[in-house]
Amino acid sequence: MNVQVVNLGEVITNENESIRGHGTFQKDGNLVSSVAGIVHRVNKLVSVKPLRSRYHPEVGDVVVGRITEVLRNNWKVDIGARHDAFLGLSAIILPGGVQRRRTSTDEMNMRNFYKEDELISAEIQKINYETFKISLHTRSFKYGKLSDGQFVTVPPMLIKRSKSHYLVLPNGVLLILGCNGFIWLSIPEESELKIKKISNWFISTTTELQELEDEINENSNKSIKDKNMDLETNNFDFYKKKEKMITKEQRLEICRVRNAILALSNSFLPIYPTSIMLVCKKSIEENINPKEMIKQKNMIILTSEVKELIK
Amino acid sequence: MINPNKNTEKNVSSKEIETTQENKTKCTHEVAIPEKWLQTLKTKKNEEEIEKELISLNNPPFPENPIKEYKFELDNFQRVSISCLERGESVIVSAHTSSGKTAVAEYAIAQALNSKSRVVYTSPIKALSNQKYRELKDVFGDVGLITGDVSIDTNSSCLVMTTEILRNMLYRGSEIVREVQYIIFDEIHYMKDASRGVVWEEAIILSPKNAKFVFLSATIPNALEFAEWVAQTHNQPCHVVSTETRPVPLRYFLFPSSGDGLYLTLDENNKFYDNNFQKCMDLLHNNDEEQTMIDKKTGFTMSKRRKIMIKSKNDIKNIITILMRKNFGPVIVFSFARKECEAKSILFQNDNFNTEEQSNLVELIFKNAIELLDEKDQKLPQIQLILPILKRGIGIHHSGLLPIIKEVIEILFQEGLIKVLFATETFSMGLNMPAKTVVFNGIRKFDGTCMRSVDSGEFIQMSGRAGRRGLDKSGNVILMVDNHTEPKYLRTLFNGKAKRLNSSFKLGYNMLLKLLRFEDVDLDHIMSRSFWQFQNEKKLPLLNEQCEELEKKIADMQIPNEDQFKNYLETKKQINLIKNKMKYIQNKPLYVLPFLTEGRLIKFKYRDSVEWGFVINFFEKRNRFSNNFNKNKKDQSGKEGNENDLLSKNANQIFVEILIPQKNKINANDPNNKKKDGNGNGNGNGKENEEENENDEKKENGNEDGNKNKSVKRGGYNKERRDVSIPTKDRILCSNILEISTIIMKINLNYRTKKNERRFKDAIEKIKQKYQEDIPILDSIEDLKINDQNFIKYYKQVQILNKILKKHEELTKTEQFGSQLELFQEKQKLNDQLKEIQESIRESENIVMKDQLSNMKKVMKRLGYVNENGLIQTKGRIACEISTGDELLLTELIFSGIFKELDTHQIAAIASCFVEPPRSHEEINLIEKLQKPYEKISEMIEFLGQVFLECRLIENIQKYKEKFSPSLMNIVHAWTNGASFLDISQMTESFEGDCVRSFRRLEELLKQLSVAAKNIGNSELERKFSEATTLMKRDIVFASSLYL
Repeated sequence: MNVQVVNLGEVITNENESIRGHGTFQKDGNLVSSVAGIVHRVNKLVSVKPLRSRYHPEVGDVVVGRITEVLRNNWKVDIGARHDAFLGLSAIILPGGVQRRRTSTDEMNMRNFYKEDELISAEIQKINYETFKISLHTRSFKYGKLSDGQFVTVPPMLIKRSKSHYLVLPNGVLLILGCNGFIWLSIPEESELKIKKISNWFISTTTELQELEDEINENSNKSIKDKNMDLETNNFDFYKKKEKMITKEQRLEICRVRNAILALSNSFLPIYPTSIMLVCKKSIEENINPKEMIKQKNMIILTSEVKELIK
Repeated sequence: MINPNKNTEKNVSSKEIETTQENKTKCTHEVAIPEKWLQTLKTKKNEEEIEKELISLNNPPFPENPIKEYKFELDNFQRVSISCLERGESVIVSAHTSSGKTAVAEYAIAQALNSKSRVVYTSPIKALSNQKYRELKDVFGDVGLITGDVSIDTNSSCLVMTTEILRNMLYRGSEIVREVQYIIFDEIHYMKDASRGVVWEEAIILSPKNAKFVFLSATIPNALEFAEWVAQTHNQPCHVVSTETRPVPLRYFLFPSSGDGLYLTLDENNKFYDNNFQKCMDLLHNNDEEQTMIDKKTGFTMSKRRKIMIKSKNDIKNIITILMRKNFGPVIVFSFARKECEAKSILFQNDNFNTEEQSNLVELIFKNAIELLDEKDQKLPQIQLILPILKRGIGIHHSGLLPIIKEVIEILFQEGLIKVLFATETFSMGLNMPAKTVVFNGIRKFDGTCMRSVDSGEFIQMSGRAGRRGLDKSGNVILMVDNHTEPKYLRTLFNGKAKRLNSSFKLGYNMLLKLLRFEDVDLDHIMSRSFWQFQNEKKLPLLNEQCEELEKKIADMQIPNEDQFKNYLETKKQINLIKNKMKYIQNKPLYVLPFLTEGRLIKFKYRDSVEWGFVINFFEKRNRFSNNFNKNKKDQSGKEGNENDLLSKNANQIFVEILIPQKNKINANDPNNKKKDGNGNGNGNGKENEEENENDEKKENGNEDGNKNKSVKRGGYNKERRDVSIPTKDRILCSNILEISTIIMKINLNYRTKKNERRFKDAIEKIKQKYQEDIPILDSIEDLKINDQNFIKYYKQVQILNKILKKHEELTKTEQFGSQLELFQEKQKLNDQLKEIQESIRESENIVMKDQLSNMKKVMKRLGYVNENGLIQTKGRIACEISTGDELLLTELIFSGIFKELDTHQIAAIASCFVEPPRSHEEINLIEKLQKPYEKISEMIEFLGQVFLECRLIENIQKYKEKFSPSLMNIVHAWTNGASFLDISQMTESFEGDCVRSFRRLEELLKQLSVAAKNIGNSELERKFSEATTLMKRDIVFASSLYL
């Protein structure tokens, strides 16, 4: 793969035909980069994706965010983008899935749904390019309040886009890979999932890797489906805070995944289920405790396999 | 009624609502209950409650305190529909136009407003949305409108919009989606529309789970099927309320062309007057004869078309006069061509149906309306010309009118200021605008692809405009018929049923990409929820049945010696196959040309039969005009040289000129006899004869310039006509040669002359006598010296196969051979049918359009809209923004940088290629500035067409290219440069209304392109697009609707 990396102010091309996209500007007939990053070309369009920047939202992205303010009829949410995102009162699903207009009573009771400093997962609904207002929505029951888990942030560049960002890893950890680099780790609500100890993972061949990935997909789909079914049939009060019992073992697994993500981030490696699994697996093989995983020398050992894979 | 299909099992109860009171109409009520829903019900309630629930489902009680009171007494069907709504469930109301479906919709709106929810009202056309908005605003107040052109009070509880807008909102997940309790789909039968129908399906599939629907439909026979689908996809019961009764009964009359009166054929009580019908038909027939007789006498050669036109012109005047005399006004005259509407209105130049007071009122309303327009636009011919007509109480209504004029006419019609309205089919839809009488001026219509007769569904819809509720006791429908009308067709029209509502689901890139943007949306899942899939699955049991039936039939057909038959026919087939292959090799010019000497007798395929004939000459196909026989004959050396070239050519490139003796006779005779006609006269002195003949001809033709070739040709044609036994000259392709005989006859090329004709005949006679039936054939290997390996192989194969064939020969000799063969062939046909059905069963079982979907995915991957994992890429996101034109093509254009060098005007002009242009056949001469850009986009169209072709999505590029037309480019360029609409309308022959429509679409497209440019981060491009939008949007084209 031919990757062109440019610095701020560097001339990308002097071809007259190319049209400029994000991260570029025109100067003296040359196309010049306005950020340091990787050049992307789509036909004649040239744009530069910055290596480190705030999150650049796109419609349909799954994000994790923190409520920063409760406004009249929407919540202000920090999703790590250049602008704040907003979650409208009408963009959430009311308990029981009732279809109706939001009243002033609803507006008074907004803190019953989400309070300041709470974490939520949501989807980007639309971006107004005039005012740069980012609107979020919680399209289905799988989005909403996040509790009883751990929060990690990484540069948004590192999150590799995939079909699903709601994942249940084979060791039973629920992983919400927000496209904005905010990651949530917890355990899924349903326990009837296939859970394997990491020591039983086999990832030496590509087919075994594939199997493991399939397992992730299967588990993730099942967990989401269960959640939806549950809420649909029982009119579950979705917004009530529920206490989950998380065992010590589960906590350790969550920690392991968290530190695996940090290790990957430290080496500036892409973060996606496979890379996380490889690091976790390596930590077992090398007999590294979760808490020791983020020691600098360990991080290098742990990510070696991922580096190999990417090459 | 239980659906046999296990996947879609449903409980359906059906019953007829009794007519208890006289003035109330009959209606039926059915309900589709999905199995899944019933099961959840069972888990929640005990048996008694379930029982109660089901009874209430089947007989929904009418509310004691209805939320909305009506000024009039409700019809039965309205009462039942309201009862269903009161249960909070979805309902389909299927009834005739203007029977009061809106009352049901209003109840749903009242309910939603009462429960502080939103309600969405969608209609198929912007103009209808405008009208509906006005109507509902008057009733409820809290009403907003969103169409592509305008947005008013978008925060209202009741939103009127076009279906496209709703669909876009659903894709976007707009907050309205989470607040909507009822979604009302007006004119849902539009779903069968080939190009736009899919929008309804998408909207219904994507609608939120907990929303309820109200579907208003013209009468459709399969409303229940539709309800079952809705019930299944949304897991909720769905009621069907349908009535066939019209609020005002109709009387149907026939008016025979050039007749003088109306013939009542079907009255209010559905009684068919057979003798009237027959009388009318007889009259038509007699008229026809008379007419032709007159023509013969006077000797006028009037074309039939013209005759009819003149006749019908008078006819329409007659009818209107009769109707006015009988006080049957107001009248709507439906034509199926817009030009015809206008032409008809001109016929009434001297009539005035309005009083002076009314005339003045018309003028006042009209003047008020057009005051909204710019002064320049007020002078448009269409506006200037229409007022005098309107003042006399005559109106025109068709899609070619400027929107504002159309609206004025609608208003005038509703006010009763228009007595005679000439309209097209578009008038049959939407708002309640009835007349006392509807006249059908002809029943042929152009439906986009071909001319056809109006079907009964359309007929029902259009005749629904007759009869004003509360004013008329009955409405009148008059059908003008001419002698082309089949009595049988007319009968079906009167008794006909409405057309079924069938899915016209199709896939679009925009749709797929929008879905792909979302987390874990499964495309297959969406497809499987479509009405298309549902209908396909429903067909399954039927197909299975057919399949079984056929299998049984085949098993029942017993043929003795079936295997032998099979072998026999198979062998025969194989021999033919191999022989064909051999022929192909043999007919290579390399082998065959040396033997095609002049006068050689050969056997060949000629048109549809096999013929014998003499070779005259051969030449290469493309040279057929210059390299004619004469020249070759005289220039022998030239021919030789030519020949060597020809040897390397393909058999399809060589023409052989041949002389066929007794062409017409041969066809009638047994092929074997033909041989007798051929002969070889090797002795004649060609050279001499030729010269002699030349002289002969010169004498015979007198003053003719003696151009032999010319006269031979002409002679040949004449001869054919004069005498069947005279030989014909023609040319065949070298590849059509079957056999080459050893016989060579010297041919006199001027066989045309009497002397030589005789000579030729004699020669043929001689051959006949000499060879009888066995004409010696050149052996392929020994004589033609074909040394092709394959040929020799085939040769041997045929020999073996022939031996096998001989074994079965006994079979052919038995008496029953003929009948058995027939039976056997029939059985094979059935087998083929079976295979076909099995194939369609396989297709129905699969996800619909699976192949197409995978092909489209291939295209998107190849062009980089999605990556190899199916994740949407930059290009895909851009394509999502474009829904008013070919999204892939426009995206490619943006990314190719073509727009970069163009100015704003050029951009607008280029974009105009992608909006549907008005129908026209004008020659387009692009102005210089636009030629180059157009070439560039043509290249892109070619490129994309190629990709589609390779991914098997289109059959040929030409067809794809035809979708884009430069016909608007000049006009748009002029418009953005500030030309007035008057100038524009002079530049084109298209209707003004069409131009306005195209311009509005173009403006929409430019807006989308501007957003797309913004998305890729190119502000210059974005500026250009939005500038173009501003330049487009002015004057009469974007004048707001009068209904707002």
